[in-house]
Amino acid sequence: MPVGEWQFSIALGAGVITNPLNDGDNIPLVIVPNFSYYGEQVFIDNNALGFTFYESDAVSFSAVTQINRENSFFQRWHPNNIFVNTLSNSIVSEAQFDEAAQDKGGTEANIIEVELGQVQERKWALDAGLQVNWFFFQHSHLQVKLLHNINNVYNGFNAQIALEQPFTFSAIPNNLLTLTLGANWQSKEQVDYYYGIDEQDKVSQELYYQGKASLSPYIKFINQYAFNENWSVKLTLQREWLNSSVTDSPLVHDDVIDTFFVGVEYAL
Amino acid sequence: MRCNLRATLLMFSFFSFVALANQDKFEEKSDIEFSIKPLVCIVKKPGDACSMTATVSWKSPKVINSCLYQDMKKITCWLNQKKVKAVIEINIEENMEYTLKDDNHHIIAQQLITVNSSLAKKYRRRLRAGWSLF
Repeated sequence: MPVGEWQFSIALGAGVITNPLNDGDNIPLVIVPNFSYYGEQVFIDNNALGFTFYESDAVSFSAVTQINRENSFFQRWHPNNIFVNTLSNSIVSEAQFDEAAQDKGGTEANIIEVELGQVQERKWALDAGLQVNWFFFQHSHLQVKLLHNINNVYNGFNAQIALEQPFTFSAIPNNLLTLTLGANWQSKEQVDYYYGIDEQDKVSQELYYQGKASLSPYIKFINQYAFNENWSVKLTLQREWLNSSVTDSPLVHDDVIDTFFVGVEYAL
Repeated sequence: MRCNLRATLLMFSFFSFVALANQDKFEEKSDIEFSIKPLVCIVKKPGDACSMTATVSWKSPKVINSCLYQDMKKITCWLNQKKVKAVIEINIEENMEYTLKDDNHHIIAQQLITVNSSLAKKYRRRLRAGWSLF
């Protein structure tokens, strides 16, 4: 990244982030903006703001603050979703509704569930903490983040680890394939705040649920083929396997979160 | 047949004339000694505007009328001169071609002035693992 310059790109295509909650809307990805600024030490990278206090060829240590992802499953108008197509949003909702109705006609066990609309509204959390980036071998990149909530929403920790490896192929010179293996850890406090159910939620007492810490591994596959300096075509596939401490919540319907996006990207 | 031969000879002599004229022009162009000094304008960081005082000098084997252009913009002209040494103010943001043109707007000499930054463009690694909304 050139130091001191803003980088903007916008991807236009079709995709979705699935929502694991009962009656939760999938997040459609139609127009996906992407921006970053890297100064000598300060950086802004989409939803994260950071200050790098040590940087060498191989390692960097930064203080970071970023918006916590979890509430995007509870809200329909998240800042990240402003650009999405509301029509496709409603189509997805209807499809999910039909599916949910069919499920309810099945086994008795499915009745023990709580829909998104029945619980107290969750709040956006802002986290801050330490980020370590380690670049090694041939463009391998390991990123570790340990964050704590700073706006008094869930008052706990969360951590993220990601190992990223880009691949290029001499037969396709303008193609970059990036494979990422990672895991998201959420403290008991975070799982309990978002997925726990208690007296604040207007549901019967049998449905109360207390969250425990969770570790959710994921795999991400991104392929980008550049036509020229500005235009590229991008394919993103990701699957995150949710831990039982999240999926055991009566609010949660799916045990995976899938991300799919295919589209063209224009870099300014 | 004779007519065709005459026409061919006429065409040949015409092209020879054009070729000779071009050669003359080339020789005339190469005979001009033209320089702008300094050749490089230094700024602190890339993208900054560059201002400097430069000395333009040129010398021609014969008396000519000429004008100095910064890209397409006319800077100054000299009438009936064989030799000139002048001071100009240069204000540029990127590399710029300066040209000396004759009465017929033909370029008779040119010089590129480059903008260099004392601080080279720096790069940092992106501290984000792959593309994601979060």
